[in-house]
Amino acid sequence: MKTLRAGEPIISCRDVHKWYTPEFEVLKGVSYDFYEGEVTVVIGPSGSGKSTFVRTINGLEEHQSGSVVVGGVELTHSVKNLNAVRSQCGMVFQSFNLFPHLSVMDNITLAPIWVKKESKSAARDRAMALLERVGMAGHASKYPGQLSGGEQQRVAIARSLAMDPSIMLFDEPTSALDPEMIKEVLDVMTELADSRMTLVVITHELGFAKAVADHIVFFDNGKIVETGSPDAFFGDPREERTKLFLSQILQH
Amino acid sequence: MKTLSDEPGPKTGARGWISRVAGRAVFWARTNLFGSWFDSLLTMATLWVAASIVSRGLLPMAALDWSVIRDNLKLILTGSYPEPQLWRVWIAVLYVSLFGGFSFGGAGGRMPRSLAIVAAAQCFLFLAPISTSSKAYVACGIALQLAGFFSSRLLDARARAWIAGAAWISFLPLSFFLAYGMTGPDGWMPVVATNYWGGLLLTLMISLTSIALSFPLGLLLALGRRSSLVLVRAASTCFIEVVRGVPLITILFIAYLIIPLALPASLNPSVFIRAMIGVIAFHSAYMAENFRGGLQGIPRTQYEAAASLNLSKGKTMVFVILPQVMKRMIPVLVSSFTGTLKDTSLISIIGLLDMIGISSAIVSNPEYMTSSTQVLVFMAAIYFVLCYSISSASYRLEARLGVTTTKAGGL
Repeated sequence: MKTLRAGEPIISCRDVHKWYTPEFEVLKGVSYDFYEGEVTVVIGPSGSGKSTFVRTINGLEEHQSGSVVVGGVELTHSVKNLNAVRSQCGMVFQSFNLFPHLSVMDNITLAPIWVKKESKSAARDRAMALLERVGMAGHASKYPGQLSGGEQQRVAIARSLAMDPSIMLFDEPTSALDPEMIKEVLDVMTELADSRMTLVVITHELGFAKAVADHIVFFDNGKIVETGSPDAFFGDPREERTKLFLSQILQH
Repeated sequence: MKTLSDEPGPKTGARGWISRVAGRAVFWARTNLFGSWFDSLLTMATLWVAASIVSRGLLPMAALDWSVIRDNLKLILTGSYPEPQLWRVWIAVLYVSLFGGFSFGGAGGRMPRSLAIVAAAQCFLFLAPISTSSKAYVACGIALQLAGFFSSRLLDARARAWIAGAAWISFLPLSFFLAYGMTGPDGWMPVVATNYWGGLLLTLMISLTSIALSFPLGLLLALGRRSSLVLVRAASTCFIEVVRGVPLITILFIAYLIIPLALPASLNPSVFIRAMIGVIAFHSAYMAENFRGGLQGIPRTQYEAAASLNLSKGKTMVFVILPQVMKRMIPVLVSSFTGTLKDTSLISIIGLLDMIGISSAIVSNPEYMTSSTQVLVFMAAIYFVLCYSISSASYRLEARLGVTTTKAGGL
């Protein structure tokens, strides 16, 4: 990763378009800058393109025009650039996506050993430390199928952290969880935010957004409708679309 | 008149025991066999069918003259493989006995059924009217199997897996080396050309080689079919579809007639090689489709998770996708393996004397004209023992890998 100049964003998106067919455009010109050490929460109705946008940042989705620059590296068709970007971004998925045939320990150490060429023992030591950090130290030899959803998601976070990313992307990390497990995952994410890691989080947990986020980004219909600090965004939204969305989700 | 045994209450002694067992048997029969009029009808029908199978099928068969099997046993098992060189085949058999026992010994607990079947077959052979030297080899086989079974328990799981893996990977090359030989006619291990191979030996050589080679070839074809390179994809798809669209018999004829024309005359491959190429091509196409099914069963999210960890495509395949595919595919793979074993019988139509080829040759001998039933039953028994031990070994494997929790092995 190139060293960033002062004030230079760690992720910079300029007029990003993505379409599957020209009539079906998912991202209609998204421009946004993410800065190092900040927590950005992305919200919006389903189908608004927020998930596609976050997946564009680490190249899981290709964009058709515009530019995405992560840590000074532009995402292009070049495999070298793609790998450079992915090595900076950890990603946590809604459905955890742990490897079911590997134990928790092997899930975490697979990529460090085979991608970063760490020695087995070093990788295991670091994995244990990470499991400690997410509160899963006692589960190293279990298999994903033996864990609850919340536990699997915490392992998935540890697995991403094992690659030493500078940015963590969360794609609705608590949406597939039972209510009593949401907190244990949010606690881990809050701890990451406290350690000044750059986080981009798609979530419907407004409590988490208000408490932890530095910025809120509101997506609708493939575009960013409104951005702002949590206080301003939830307290005094400017756009009609935002007010409608907030009134819909805050009713309950 | 009342006797003591008619008294209600606990009964003691032999008579009491008999009447208790009989009572339980009657109760069991009434609940399970004669629970309703329909159950009774089914029970009677089944009994009638079973009785006729025994009285018209099995009993007459036992009365038949089985000397045809005894006289031709060597022919059925090895074809015209030269008698003085049979020790080489026996060594391969002993090798399998040793490592068969070894591979299953570590599983702990009881012997797997497949091993027990092989042991039983060996004991049967031991009692059969065969030469003393053969009996010595069979006894050696049983001893080695037991030795392997118990010695593997002394090793830890890792060493055991390594030794067993190495032994099975080197098994086919070794048995080809043993069966084919290396020296001139006067050496200690003269070359035995493949046209002398026959019977069970030939069947096993062709089917085991096809299994071992069609497995990786099928995997490559399946991956080729999913490749992003147009040429690779087109070639794989074309091969798979063409081969799958043609019956095995046709492929064998094509291999038999066309391969010699396509290759330079100096190469002129033996019928054995031609048949093998046909069988392997056929089964790798089917194997490719099995693998394709297995690969499709892995959700896209697994690829995404691997990509987000920066694992390359190749490493994703090797460490994430294929282990999951293999585990799911064990039942399918086993059924294709048994299919391959049985389909090999078709090579007899291009003149190879595998078990089926040998048996028709024997039956066409006027001396044994009336013995075709015996020969066929014996063939069926050999195929059954082979296929059943493959499938029961796979149930064991499935259970150990935790694929199925139910007792798929039945019985």
